[in-house]
Amino acid sequence: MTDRHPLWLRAGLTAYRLSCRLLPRSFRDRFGAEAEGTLQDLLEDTRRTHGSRAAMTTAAAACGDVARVGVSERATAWHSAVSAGITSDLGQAVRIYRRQPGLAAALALTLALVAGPAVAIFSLLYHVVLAPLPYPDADRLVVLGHQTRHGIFHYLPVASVSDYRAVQAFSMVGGMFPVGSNIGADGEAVRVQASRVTAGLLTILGVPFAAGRDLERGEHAIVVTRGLALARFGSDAAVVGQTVIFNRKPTPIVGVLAYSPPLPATRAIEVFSPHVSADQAVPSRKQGGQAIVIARLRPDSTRTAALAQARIVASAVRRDFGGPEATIDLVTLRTAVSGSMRVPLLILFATVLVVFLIAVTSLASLVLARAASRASDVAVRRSLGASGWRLVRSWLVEGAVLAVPGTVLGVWVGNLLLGYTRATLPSGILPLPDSMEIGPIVVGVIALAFVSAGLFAMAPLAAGLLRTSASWRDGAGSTAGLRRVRAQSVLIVVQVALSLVLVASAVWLSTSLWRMFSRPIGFDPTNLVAMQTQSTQLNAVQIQTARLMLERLRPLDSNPASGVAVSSSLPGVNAGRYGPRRIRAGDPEFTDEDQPSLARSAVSTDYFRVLGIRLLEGRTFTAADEANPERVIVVSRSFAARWLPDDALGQVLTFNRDDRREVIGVVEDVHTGRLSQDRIPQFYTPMNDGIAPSTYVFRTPLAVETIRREATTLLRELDPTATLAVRSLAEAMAMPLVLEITANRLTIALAALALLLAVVNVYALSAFAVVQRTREIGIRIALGARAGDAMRLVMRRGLVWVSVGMALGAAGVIFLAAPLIERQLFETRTSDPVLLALAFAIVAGVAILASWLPARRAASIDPAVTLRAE
Amino acid sequence: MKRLRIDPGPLSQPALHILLALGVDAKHGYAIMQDIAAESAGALRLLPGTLYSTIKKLLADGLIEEVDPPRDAESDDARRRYYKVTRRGRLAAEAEMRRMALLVRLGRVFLS
Repeated sequence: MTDRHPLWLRAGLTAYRLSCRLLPRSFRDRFGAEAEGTLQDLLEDTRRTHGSRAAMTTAAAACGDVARVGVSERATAWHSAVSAGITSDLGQAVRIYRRQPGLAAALALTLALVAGPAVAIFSLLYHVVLAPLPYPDADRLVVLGHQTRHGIFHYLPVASVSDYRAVQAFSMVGGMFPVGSNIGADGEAVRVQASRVTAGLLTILGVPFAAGRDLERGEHAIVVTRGLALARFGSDAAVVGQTVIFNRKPTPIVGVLAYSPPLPATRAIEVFSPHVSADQAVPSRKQGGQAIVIARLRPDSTRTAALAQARIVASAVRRDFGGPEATIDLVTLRTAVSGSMRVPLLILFATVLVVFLIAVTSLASLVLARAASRASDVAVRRSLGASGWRLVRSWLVEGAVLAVPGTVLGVWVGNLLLGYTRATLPSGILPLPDSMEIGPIVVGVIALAFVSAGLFAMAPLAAGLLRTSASWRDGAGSTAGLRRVRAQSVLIVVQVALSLVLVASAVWLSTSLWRMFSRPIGFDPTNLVAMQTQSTQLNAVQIQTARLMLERLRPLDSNPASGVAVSSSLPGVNAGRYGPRRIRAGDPEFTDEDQPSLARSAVSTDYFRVLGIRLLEGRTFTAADEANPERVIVVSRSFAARWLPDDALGQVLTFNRDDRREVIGVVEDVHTGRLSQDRIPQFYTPMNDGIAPSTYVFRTPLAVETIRREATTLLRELDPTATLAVRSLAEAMAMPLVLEITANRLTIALAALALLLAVVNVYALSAFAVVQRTREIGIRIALGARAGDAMRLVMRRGLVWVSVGMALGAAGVIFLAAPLIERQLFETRTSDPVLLALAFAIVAGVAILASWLPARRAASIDPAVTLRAE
Repeated sequence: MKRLRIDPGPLSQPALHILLALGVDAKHGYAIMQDIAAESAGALRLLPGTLYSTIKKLLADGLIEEVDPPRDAESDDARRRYYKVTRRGRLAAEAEMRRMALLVRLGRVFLS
C-alpha cells in the first residue's frame, strides 16, 4: 500500500516508525497500527490544505512527540513491573525457605557468625582510627614529632612550644605531658591519668567546659573531666572552687570539661594541670622537661606549608641550642591519637573481611550444590518467557531474604563480641566504644547484606543455569553438572589461596609471640604476685611504710620457699632509668649521644632470693648495707660485661660527681619493658637509697585475691594517700602485649575458620566426583585397576585445584601478607623457610585429608554391586 | 479486571480535550484530533503519540471505552477504532470544568 504514497510521505512514516521503537511493546501492539493510520490521515490532510512543506514539518513534530511519549511510557512500565516483580520474588523466596527451614537457618546463622566479627572490628576501627575527633575543625589539629626508625616520636623539649609559635601557619601552639597522678579528698587518694598542659591548650583543642574556666598562665590549679568529678566528688558544676589534694598539694579545681578529650596518651586523661616550666623563661633547653606539641593550623594554610615552616624553625633552634639531628614531621592529631593501634586494627579488619568473603563464597557454593536440583524449575520459568535478568533478580531477592536477617543477627553478635572484649581486656588498653557507632554500622551492614545477596545470586549464575536451561529447552542435553564442578573449582582456588594467607599470618604471629614469651627473663615468674603502689608521701616516709609493710606481709605465708620483697620498679615490666655521667672516676664523661640509659632499682635485702635472680659473683645486700646505702652496688651481667669486663667485684663506681659505690655482686640480667624490647644494663642499690619503693613482690601459692585484701587493708592503715594495684606478675608482664596476644588469637581463629570452609568444599568436590564416577570406577576396578588407582582418580581433580589455590596463595603471602605483617613481628622473618613450609604443610595436609576421605570410599567400590545397581 | 481508582483526579489538558471532543458520538482517533484542532481554532493540535498515550490512560481509568464502528462510518480503514465517553468520564469532565470555573473566578478576583 505504501507504493501509492509519494516519497516524502514514505520517508516521514519510516522515521515515525523508527521513533515508535521507543514505545513499550505492549503499547505498540495495541495502538501502533491505529496511530500510524491517524498520522497518515493527518499528513495527507495537511498536505492538501497547507502544502507539502507543512506536512513534512508535522511529520517531524510527530516523530518527536512519539519519542517523548515512548520514553515516559517505558519509565512508567518499568517502574510498575519492578515493584510488582520484587513483591512476587519476595513471596517466592519466602516459600522456598519455608519448605527448607533448616537450610535457611543454617545459612543465616553462618552469615551472622562471620558478619559479627566483621561488624565488631569495623566498629572498633571506626572508633579508634576513622571517626573524627570531637573537636571543632578537628582536621586542622596537628602534632609535631621526630621521625625515628620506629615511627614518629612525639616528645620534644617543652621549650619548643614557644619556638613553634613563630610558625606563621599555626594559629595556636600548645604542649602536653601525660603523667600518672594521685588525686583525693578527705585523705583517700585514687590514681588517675593526668596531663600537664601549657596554658591555652584546652582552648586550642576547643573542648567544651561543663563548668568553670581554662587554666591560666602560671596558675596553681587543675581542670578535671566531668566523668571524674561525678565519680569522685559526686557532682560536676559544684566542684569548681573546691580544693582537693593533687599529688600531695592542696589544689583548687577551676574548671570541669564536658568529656575527656582524646589525646596522644595511653589512657584517657582525667586531670589537667599547668605545665609551668613551658611558660617560664627556660635557661637551658635541657631543663623544663618534654612535651607533645599540638598546634592548630590557620584556616588559610596547609599542612605542607606548616611543615616547611616548622622545619626552618627546628633547624634554627638546633643551630642556636644544639640537639640531636632529627627531621621534624607533622601528623594529624587523629593519627597521633590512634597511634600504634592503626596498623594492627587495619590488618585485623582486612583479615576479618577476607574470612567473611570466604564464608560467603562457601555459602554460595552450598546454594550452588542445590542449584542443580532447580535446573528444571529454571527451565520452566524461562520457557514461560522469564528473561535472564528477571531470574537473576529473583535470585538476588532470595539472597537478600537470608542476608538481611543474617547480617542484622551479625550486628548483635558483633555487639556481644565488643562487650566480651571490653570485659576481658584490661581497661585503658584500648579506647573501646561504649556501644557500636550506629551510622557507620548501618552503612557497613547494608554493604555486607548487598555483598552477600550478590554472591548468593551469583551461585546459580555461575552454575551456568541460564545457558543450561536455554539448551535444555532446545533439547541439546544438560551440562549443568560439569559447570557446577567448574564453579566449585574456582571457589576452591580462592578459598585455598585465602586460607594459605591467613594460616601463614597466624604461623608468623604465633612464632613471634612464642619467641617473645620464651625469652629468658632472668627470674622465675611463677607464683609471683606484684603489688604496685603509688603514694604521694615523701620518699623517706614511703621507705618507712615499705619496711612496716614487709614485716606485716611476711607472716601471711611462712613457707620457706615463699617470701616478700620490695623494689622501686616492677621486674619484667618496668624499671627506673638512670643516665650516668661516667662509670668509674677516671673515665671520660659521656657525651649526649653515647650516654647510656641504665635500669636502676632500689631493692630490699630479700629481693634477689624472692625473685630467684641468680647471683653470679659476690653477694647481695644485707641489713648492714641498708645503713650505708650509697656505698654498695650490685650490677647485672650485661653491665659488668660492657664496662667491667675484667673483674667487676670490688670496683668502685662513680656515676655522678663524687659518689663512690663498691660493686659487691653481679647478678643475672632481668628483663624490663615489653618482652619485645632489648635488655638493658642494670644496677641495684639498697632500699634506703632515697628512691621510693613502689612494688612489692610476693612469691606465694596463695590466691591473688587474698593478698590483695590483706595488703589493701594494711596499706590503708599505714599510708592513706597511697593507691595499690595487685595482680600476678605473669599477668603484669603479658599486659603490654595483650593486644598482640588478642590479635594473634583472632588470627588463629580466623585462619582455622577459613581453612575449615575451604576443606568442606574440597571434601564436597571429591565426594561429588565419587558419586558421579561410581560406575566408571566400578568398571575400572572390574577390569583390574587397583584401589590406589581409583583413589588417585578421585583425588586428582580436587588436588589440582588445591595446588592452583596454593600457588595463588603463595603470591598473596609474599606480596600482600608479608610486607604488612613483617613490622609487627619479633625476631621472626616472614621469609623464614621453616615457617613458610609449616604454613604450606598445614594447608596442603588438611586439603589432602579432605579429598582422601571420599577417595577411600571410591577405593572400596565393589564393581559387582555398582554394575548390578545400573 | 483492573480495579478503577475512585477519583481519577485532575485531568491533563489533552485528556480533558479528548473527553470534550467525544461529548456526543463515538469517534476514531483522527476525528478526535480534527475536532480538537477545529474547536480550539488550530491553537491546540494533538499528535498521534500524545493522543494515543492519553487514550490509553483514559481507557485504563475507565473514562472512555472502545465501541464498534458506527454503521454510517465514512471510511473502511480497518485500523480505525472508535471510542465513546463513559458515565464516569462525563463525571470526571464535569468535575474538571468545575475546578476550572473556580480557578477562573479566583483569577478574576485576583486581577480586578
